Formats: sequence, C-alpha cells, structure tokens
Amino acid sequence: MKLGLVIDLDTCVGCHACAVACKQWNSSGISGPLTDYHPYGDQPGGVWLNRVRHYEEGVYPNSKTVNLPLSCMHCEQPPCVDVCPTGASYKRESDGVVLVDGERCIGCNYCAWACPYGTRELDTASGTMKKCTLCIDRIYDTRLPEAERTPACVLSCPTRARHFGDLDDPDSTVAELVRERRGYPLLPELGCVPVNRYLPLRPSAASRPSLEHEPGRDELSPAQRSSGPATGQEGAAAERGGAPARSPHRQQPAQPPSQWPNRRIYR
Amino acid sequence: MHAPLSVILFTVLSGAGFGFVALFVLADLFAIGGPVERGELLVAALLGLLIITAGLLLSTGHLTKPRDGWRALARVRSSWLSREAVCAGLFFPVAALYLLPYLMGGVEHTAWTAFWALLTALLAVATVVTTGMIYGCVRAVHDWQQSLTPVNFVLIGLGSGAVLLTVVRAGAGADPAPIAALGATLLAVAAASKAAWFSWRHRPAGSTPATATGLTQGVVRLHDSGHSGPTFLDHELQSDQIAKRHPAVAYYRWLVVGAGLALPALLLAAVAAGAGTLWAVLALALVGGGAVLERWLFFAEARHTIRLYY
Repeated sequence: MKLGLVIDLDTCVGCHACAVACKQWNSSGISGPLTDYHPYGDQPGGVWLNRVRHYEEGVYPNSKTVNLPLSCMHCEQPPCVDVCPTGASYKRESDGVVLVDGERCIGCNYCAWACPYGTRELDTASGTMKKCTLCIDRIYDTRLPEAERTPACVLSCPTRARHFGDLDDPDSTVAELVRERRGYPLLPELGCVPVNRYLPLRPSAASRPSLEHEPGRDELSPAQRSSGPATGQEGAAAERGGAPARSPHRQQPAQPPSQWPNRRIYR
Repeated sequence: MHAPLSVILFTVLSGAGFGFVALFVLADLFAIGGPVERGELLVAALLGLLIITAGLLLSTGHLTKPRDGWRALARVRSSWLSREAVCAGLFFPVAALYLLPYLMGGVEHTAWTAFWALLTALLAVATVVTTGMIYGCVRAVHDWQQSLTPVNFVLIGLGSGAVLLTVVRAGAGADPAPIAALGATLLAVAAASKAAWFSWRHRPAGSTPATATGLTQGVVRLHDSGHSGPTFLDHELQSDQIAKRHPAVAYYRWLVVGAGLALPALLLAAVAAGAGTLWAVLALALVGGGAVLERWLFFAEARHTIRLYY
C-alpha cells in the first residue's frame, strides 16, 4: 500500500482551510501539541504540518495565480529517513506513511535539512521533529464514520482539491485521477520519488484548442474515421465514455467515474 | 542554512584534532623529524584528546536532547551522522590501546603496536570523512553536494593538524621541518581544492521554480509564502540570507583561500626551509581563524531547495 495525497492545483483556491484543519486535528492527535510560539505577541509563530504557498505563473496580464499546498510527500526514497541517526524517522512498510518516533528523536534537525520540500518542523517545546502523519489517527479509527476516515485536510477542503487514497492500487480514485490528469511529483530530479502527486492546471478556455477548427482534424486516416465520428461532438462523447480513444496515449475508462462533480477531460 | 556556533566549532576542532592525531601517529611510527620522546607523546596525546573531546561535546550543543545523543549510534547502515558517531566512539578505545604501552613505560614499535597506531590514524581520518559526508550527501543543498566537500573537510583538518604538530614537534626539540613541509603541501592543496569548491558552487542546479512547482507555461514567481510570522524553516534553512546581509561576503571567500589556507602554507614552507618556530605559531592562528570563517561560510552561504518554496 502506498497512501498519499493528490492535490488539484486547478481547483485549489488557496484558502488555507487544509492548513488550519491540519493544525486543529494534529494539535490533539498523536503528534500534538503543535506548539505556538508567542500566540498573542507581535510575531506569532508555531509548528504547522501543512503550508500553502502562492505563485504567479507567466507575466501580467498573461498570468495566473497558482496555490501550492505543501505537506510531507511520504517519499518512496525518503532522505529524511536515510539521514536520521537514531531511527526516529521511519517509513511504515504496511502503508508507506513516513513518521517520527518522538521517543527516539534527539532534535538534531538533520532530517529537516535533508528534506528538499521543507515539510518537517522542529517543535522546540517538545524538542522533537513534527511532520504530516497523513492523520493515521483518523484514517484507521473505526469509531469514526467511514466517510470521515480520511486526513483532516482532505475532509476540510471546500473545493475538493485534495484527494486521499492508495496510489499503489490502479483502481483507486487517486490513481485514476493521476492517470487522467497526468499528476506529477514535485522536484522529481532529486530522486526522492514522492508519493504525493499534483494535478496540473487545465488549459484556460482561450488557449484550449477548438475541436471544430483544429487543423488536421479533417485529415483522419480511414481506420480512425471508421472507429468513430470526427466531429465536434467527440469531446462530449468521450466524457460519456462511449467514444473511441482520441489519443493513443490515453485509455478512457469503461465506466465514467461520477464521484467527482468537476471532472472534465480535455486533450 | 542556519550556522550554529556549536556546529562550526565542533567541525573545526574535531577536524583539527583528528588531523593532528593522525599525523602525530605517523610521525611517531616513522620517526618523522626524529623519534618521539615520552614527554612529547604525553603532551600530544593530552592535546589531541582535549581538542577532539571538546569538539565532540560541542557537537551535542545543537541537539534539543543532548543526553540522548548516544541514540545517534543506531543507524550506521544509512546515516552518515550515525557513522560519524560510531567512528568517533571507536576512536577512543583504539587510541587508548595505542597509547597504553607507552604509558606503561615506553616500548619499541612492534607489528602489534604499529597495528594499533595505524588503526588510530585510520579512524581519525575516517571520522573527518564522515563529518564531511554528513553535509556532502544532502541532495537538497546543491552547494554541498560536491565530491570536494568531504575532501575539503579532510584536507583542512589534516592541514590545521599539521600546523599544530609543527609547533608541538618544535617545542619538544625535534626537527619540525619534515612535518612543516607536509603541512605546507596539505594546506596548499586545501587552498586549491577550496577555491575549486567555491567556483563549483556556481554550476547550474537541476532544481528550479519550474521543477519545484511543476508549472511550465511561463515564468514562475513566488507571490506569498503563506505565513506572516517567523517559522522554523525560515530560521533553520533560509539563513543564507545572513550571508547576503554581509556586503563583504565575496571577499570572505578570498580571505579563506588566501589568508586562511595559502598564507599559512607559505609560512610552513618557510619553517621547513629553516625559519623560526614563531612563524608556525602565526600560521596556527591564521589557519584557526581561516577554518572558522570557512565553516561559517559553508553553512551561511548554503542554498537549500526550500528557497524555491519561500
């Protein structure tokens, strides 16, 4: 099993609800408390396991704001686990969640240095490293209703930009999303093999190729033509799942999953 | 990166201490510059142990739980920090076995004493290599991920150890020239290697805002890092801003290479050619200051990939 998050950058509105929900749940969860420093002072600070960054892509006026929530990627080759001298940082074999054993942590900060994503924070009150646990104290809690056995950040997201599941299972919602939307990892060149994936922005309406006037659309080979209608209806047909594959690189699902209300397929 | 004084002093002191011990063992074994007398051996052993122990104690200074430092021995198979702790821990009993026959009353070298002597020197150098690899293996810090990082740690450790040994040998009445010549060579190589390290810092990094965010349609610019107060990440990983606040930081690099490494190498060469011991003492002061400045720059200038998210 390879539990992880899939985050849709196209739907994320950057409201920080996930970060606040994370802080709230984990303050009293297994890694709690997440200490606040000077909470009522001039410069309040503290430990957060999930932070949202805001980027601008392109140059104004042809630019777009992109919100990038960052939490532990639960890497398959986690450098934080490799460098930990005490074995306090470990990756669970059963579900791939990377955790910190507070009893063993000596607070040397080496794992925070080794993590390229900056998702580990030292709690100076407890003297131990704190990080995203994927809410293991929620997701396995059978006392919770089944729909709530999911990380707090996923549950709280008002735009459903966050998805949680087993990325090892090709039939899971998250794996399907990654496949459909070409989900990608961050900083792939560093070789940490992150499990969390990010779904790219859908092309804007202006830049999306028009199906009616796409050059080359009329020059279909006879084989392609016989396999289905090459008209403007094709996109809608594909969404219903009945049309032929429009690209040899993409496999359409036999049954359209209907659990994502904003699911659309673009070329 | 954040540069705690304890870590700077630890790496400088333990590097110099282990370098000193490694070279002293060779001087003793092969009688470089004359045989080592019992009094000199006692002084050198005390000096070496004092520097190394002070350095290792300082290394626990940045831990939040220094008393649990022994836990760092647990992950030798994957962590360079753990390997360093094990090498340093093994060094003390092995060095004791090397010293024991002398303290019992002085002996001629046999194959057995030579074995412990060489093992002591080997462990001393290995510890410095592991210290360098602690930083050299961090993929998130492009500046550190050079093969020259551990090489520099070893060269500067051995070089500063050689300066100290020159002073000790001269003080004991032995001929300091061969050790001074060795030290001059080591420091000259260290100066060249450190200069190369500085220039390789500027090789292009694979990680860019585009790979950090996956946004490839245009120029990616960070608007807002999403928090208004100070954070642990700011303090610990973004401290290369410290170096940026020093307008003279580019000159510090020349100071390290020139005054901290090359000039002491020249002074030691003069000692090897017959100049007075005072020059070796001056070289010791220069190389000490140079090593501290070098280590401060090493941390303060290091750029972590976190800057792509801040």
